[in-house]
Amino acid sequence: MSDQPSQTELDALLEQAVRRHGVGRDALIPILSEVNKSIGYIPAEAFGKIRRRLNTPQEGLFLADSHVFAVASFYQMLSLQPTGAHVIRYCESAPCHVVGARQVLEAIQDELGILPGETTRDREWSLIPTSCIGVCGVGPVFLIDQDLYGNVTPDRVHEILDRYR
Amino acid sequence: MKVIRSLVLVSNDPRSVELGAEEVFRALHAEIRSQGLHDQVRIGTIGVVGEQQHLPLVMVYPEAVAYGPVTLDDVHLIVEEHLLKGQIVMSLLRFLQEPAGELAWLRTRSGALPVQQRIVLERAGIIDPYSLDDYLLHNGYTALGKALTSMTPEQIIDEVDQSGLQGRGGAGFPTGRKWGFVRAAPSHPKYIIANADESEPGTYKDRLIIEGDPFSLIEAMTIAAYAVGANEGFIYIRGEYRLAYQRLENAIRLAEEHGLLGDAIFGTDFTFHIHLHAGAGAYICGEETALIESLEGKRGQPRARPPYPPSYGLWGKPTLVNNVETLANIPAIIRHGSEWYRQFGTPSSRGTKVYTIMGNVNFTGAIEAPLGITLREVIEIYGKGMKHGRRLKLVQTGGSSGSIVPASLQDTPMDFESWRKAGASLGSGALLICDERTCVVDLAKVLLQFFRFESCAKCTPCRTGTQRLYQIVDAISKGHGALADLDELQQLGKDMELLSNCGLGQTASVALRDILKHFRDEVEEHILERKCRAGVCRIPALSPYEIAAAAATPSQAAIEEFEGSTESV
Amino acid sequence: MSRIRSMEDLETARQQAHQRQQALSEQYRFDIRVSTASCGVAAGALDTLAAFKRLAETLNLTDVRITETGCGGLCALEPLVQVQESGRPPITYGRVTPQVARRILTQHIEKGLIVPEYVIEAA
Repeated sequence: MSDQPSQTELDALLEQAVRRHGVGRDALIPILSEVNKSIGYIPAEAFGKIRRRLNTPQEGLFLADSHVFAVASFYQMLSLQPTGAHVIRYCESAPCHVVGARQVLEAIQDELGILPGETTRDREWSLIPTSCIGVCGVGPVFLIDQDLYGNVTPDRVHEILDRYR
Repeated sequence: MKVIRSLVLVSNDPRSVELGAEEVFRALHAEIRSQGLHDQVRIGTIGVVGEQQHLPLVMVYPEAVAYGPVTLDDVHLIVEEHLLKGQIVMSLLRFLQEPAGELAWLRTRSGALPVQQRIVLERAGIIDPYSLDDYLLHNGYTALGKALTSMTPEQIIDEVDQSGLQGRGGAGFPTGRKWGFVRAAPSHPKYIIANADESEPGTYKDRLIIEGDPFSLIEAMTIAAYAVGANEGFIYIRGEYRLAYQRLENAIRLAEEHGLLGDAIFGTDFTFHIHLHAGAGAYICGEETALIESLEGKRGQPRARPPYPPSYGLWGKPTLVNNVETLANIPAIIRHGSEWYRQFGTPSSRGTKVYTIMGNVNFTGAIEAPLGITLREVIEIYGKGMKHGRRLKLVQTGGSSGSIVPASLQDTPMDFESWRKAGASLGSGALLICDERTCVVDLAKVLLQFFRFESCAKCTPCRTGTQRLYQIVDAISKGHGALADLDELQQLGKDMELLSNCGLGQTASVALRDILKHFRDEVEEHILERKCRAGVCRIPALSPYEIAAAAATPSQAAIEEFEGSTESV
Repeated sequence: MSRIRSMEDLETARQQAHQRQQALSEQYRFDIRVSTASCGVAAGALDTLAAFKRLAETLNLTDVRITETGCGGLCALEPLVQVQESGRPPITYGRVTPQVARRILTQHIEKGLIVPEYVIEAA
């Protein structure tokens, strides 16, 4: 999904987001989230486009590209770089840690040959650490794209990843 | 604490009833009572079981044993042999499943499920969260109707105040007082925000409430809005909680369609709209002023306080920010009155609390229990004991920013007051239960990794402090520590507590402080003996060269160079 | 259900809800509720839900209604499934994989024999 979108695609996407969330300052994060969800990341040219779309100087709203960038770079679910076709977000918080999350992480790293924060060379997989996903009762836990996997053990990793190949 | 050890079920299909099942039921009931077992044994009926020639059938759980056909003469035998002595009455046995796997083992070992006192989770897991019908059939919207048609806002605030309800997000501030502040604030309009940005690791109570019973949050918010005088509300929900978001979206739509939200609610002139806002992934947004900044479309960096949100909140207007669990208590309080609510909990902490239990216990999950139960009760009764019979070492309460409680404190009642006195905090109710295989240095490292990752970087004490704490603990875990490091950790922690702008920096060192208080010897062992007793930290043995180097005193130049290098943290 | 404008309307709405539920319980003998909160989903509840739906169709079980519910808090035993025959107390099963779902349908629903080793609560 992380392919470079065309200008028209990006414009259409922004229009759609604006229709849904409006153009106030408070629409900024929902719009960024929507772009991120559709494309997989927020391309650099989106900052200027979003700023121009939202700015209403007569109402006192004047954002610079840097304002938009500042917000986009703050939140973990927003990515500024292209990610792999599938994104694995693994929980590295204490509750998962005490029930064996490190071994699961090592198994994922071995399986994919990448470290946390990296994307495989074939652009199929990204591995991203995340804070607690809130399903600690079935830890260790990870997310692949939108799918949750709980009670994961190192020996289940291969089988789970295979479902996406 | 009431624990149900056995569950007895008598078949009550028409054929069984014809064959005397009801008499058997009554006789069992009487016998259980006369043997004094009525507190531990629950009795009920069950439909379709077994084959015709075995009726009436009596099933006993957790062993999943079926006896039949049972006559009045057999009742005494079953109670005496099975329920009292724990032996299966072979002569009456119809079928017995061999324990299969962990599940049966858990059941056989520890009996049926303990009774919980449920107020906020009353409906979760029982109703269909997508169905307004189900919600209405389980007392839904009675409270809002009562509030709007027969109570003034002042009466509602008074009722909430009288109930003794305290904020369940962690700080424990009296809810009624907070509502009063917002109502009294002179500026308009006013806003209300449900804080569903539940990001404290190990906490998922709000998710359970929303996913299981989304209408209750909406009903509660509507009551709160009416009480404080707000016409617009926001639910700030974690971006990761997609399912909860969908269920709320559906519930809001249904409530609006039926005149329970929107304009002219319950036929009155009260108007209230709820907007859903999904977060984009930032722990700090659970802090109420960071959350407000984020709602306004900015980086989620906490504001300087005071002013507090009740006087200066969203867009500078008076704003009520309540945690989801806090709000979920409201309908029951309005429905039954504050007197009823006050019967639960302890004099200083009224009501129930949802605890999320995880870590090295047999039974992980969420429970709701009156405030004031002890950790031991939680572990033994609800957690069904430690996994593999290992020993309890420590419990972390309230997520990453919470306290580390050693096993010796497990009999302290868990309420806001008692724990404050014991130097711990109840926080969000997350209970991470760790056995002796947990290394405190490693645990501290994981927690500090979390904080240095989540610091919003606005203020220096937190931004560099969390990094520095992590570096030192990381060094200790690898065998590069010195005793002087422990003093530095303590001092730095204190400085951060005093100087940080918000709760994140102020609490980042709490767990570390507790570890140094209760487990200092174990940390020192890492430094002095290069030993990790839990076997978690991988500390390489010293080479002869390193031993020699360690014995030599470092030169002044080396010290200066070292200190210079920490500047660039 | 129309708009609720008073406490009387609420009562009426409730009665209508009750009637709808009655009608459902007459139409369907069994109610199967799969707990699909996030922890259930993480433990595979969606696979279980799909299995119930698919198998109920294959086995032509027309008197079975399959719905979703939230989480009762028993994360260790997810996926949780409640089976209730109309007019009877519900039986709760834990760790219900698609294989167990098949047994519940062929044993409990078809023959009236509960599957004891997965029962966690019956009351």
